[in-house]
Amino acid sequence: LSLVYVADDEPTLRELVSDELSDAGFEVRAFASGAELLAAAQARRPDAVLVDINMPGLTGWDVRRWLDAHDAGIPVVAVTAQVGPMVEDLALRTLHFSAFLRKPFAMADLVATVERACRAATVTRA
Amino acid sequence: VSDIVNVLDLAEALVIACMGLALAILGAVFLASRRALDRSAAILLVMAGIFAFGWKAPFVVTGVDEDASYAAQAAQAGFFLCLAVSLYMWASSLLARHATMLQEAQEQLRAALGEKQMYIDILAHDLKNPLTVARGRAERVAKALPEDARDVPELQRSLHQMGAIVEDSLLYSQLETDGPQLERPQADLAATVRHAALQLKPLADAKGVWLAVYGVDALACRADRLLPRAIENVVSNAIKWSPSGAQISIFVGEGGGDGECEVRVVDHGPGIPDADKAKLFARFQRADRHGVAGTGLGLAIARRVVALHRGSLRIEDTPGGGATFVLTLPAALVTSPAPASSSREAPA
Repeated sequence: LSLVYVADDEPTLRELVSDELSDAGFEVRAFASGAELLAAAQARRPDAVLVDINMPGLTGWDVRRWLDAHDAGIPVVAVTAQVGPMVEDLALRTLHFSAFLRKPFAMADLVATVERACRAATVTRA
Repeated sequence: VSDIVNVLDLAEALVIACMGLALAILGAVFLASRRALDRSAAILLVMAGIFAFGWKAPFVVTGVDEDASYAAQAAQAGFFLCLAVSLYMWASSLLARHATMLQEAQEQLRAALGEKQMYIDILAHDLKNPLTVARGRAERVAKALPEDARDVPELQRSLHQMGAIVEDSLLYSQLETDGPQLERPQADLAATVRHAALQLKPLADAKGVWLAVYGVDALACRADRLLPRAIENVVSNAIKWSPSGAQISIFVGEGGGDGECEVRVVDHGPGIPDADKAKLFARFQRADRHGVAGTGLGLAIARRVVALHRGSLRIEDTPGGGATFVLTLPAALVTSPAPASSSREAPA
């Protein structure tokens, strides 16, 4: 059972993502902020992380940077409501997020993206 | 008679000398306050006053004809020169001040527009969270329902449409205000069009419309990633208006102009009356007499994106009925086909 950490400041979205990923067979832990997620990541290493880029406090970028510095092997999926190709470029090419989900996203895309990220990480580790 | 002339001359000289004094004092006041005139214009005004005084005062005092004196002539010249330059400087500083005011007003307007765009952005951005949740929950409910249940698919379609409206509003607002910094790497236009047609195949299939792409295998142009979006918008517009069973032909090739690239999207729908052609690209313009759904922004976005590529998008009538959208990219953007994609002559 892959462990996925989810951080989003929007509770309804957090619950939706948790429900869907749990149904898809992931073990999910959801956090209201990037700081809570990072604290949990220190206690127990997740197999993948899903963060909203725009969060108050620690942003998705901050979470990515912290994980890069401490445990670069964890795949991080970025979620954003922003439009335009610039954000995606920045996320994937410059900040090396493993994948990118644009709101509003379909549930099938959510599950497929997280599965792909977990698989890629397993292949890299092996 | 000569006495009268003398008296008149004296009066004139007196007036000019006094005016000179007044000018000098006025200039000095301006210099002190530095409000209405700039510094050098005020100094010149003082000098013009002094020159005027120097030109006529000796005549007032001594009665000697000033025209005979070189000093008086020099003072006269000095007066006119200083006065002219001072007036010129005063006028130009006045103009400059008005230009600054105009610029400030323009900046305020721009700031107000920026605020408006920010408002649209925030609104659209904030709508995305509840939209994601609503769509996600509807998707989960739909999975649990029997396939013939109609309520949830209808709900999903509406939510999908809302998502498209939010998305289009954001994109249009961005394109409208400043236009994103377009990157234009070399791209294969034919492949771009084929990809767009492939993306829209489900939409076309659902309506029973055939999509056919004709043209050269590889045609290189410089295209931003927004160009496929523009092409998709034009083609999906054609799909919307085509009757079931009709074909939409998309021709990719070199345009009429020298080295131009051209995409012609030919549909056999109801066509567009001449009166509606011009306003078709305006925002939110949609002929909804046929009950066709859309945000009304698709063609406006397409036109704007093509314009940012320095190209054009125009409408023609399809012979036999229907509309033809002609998307043209200018010659400067077209280079020789990319080696990797020039598959036409390559051996199989």
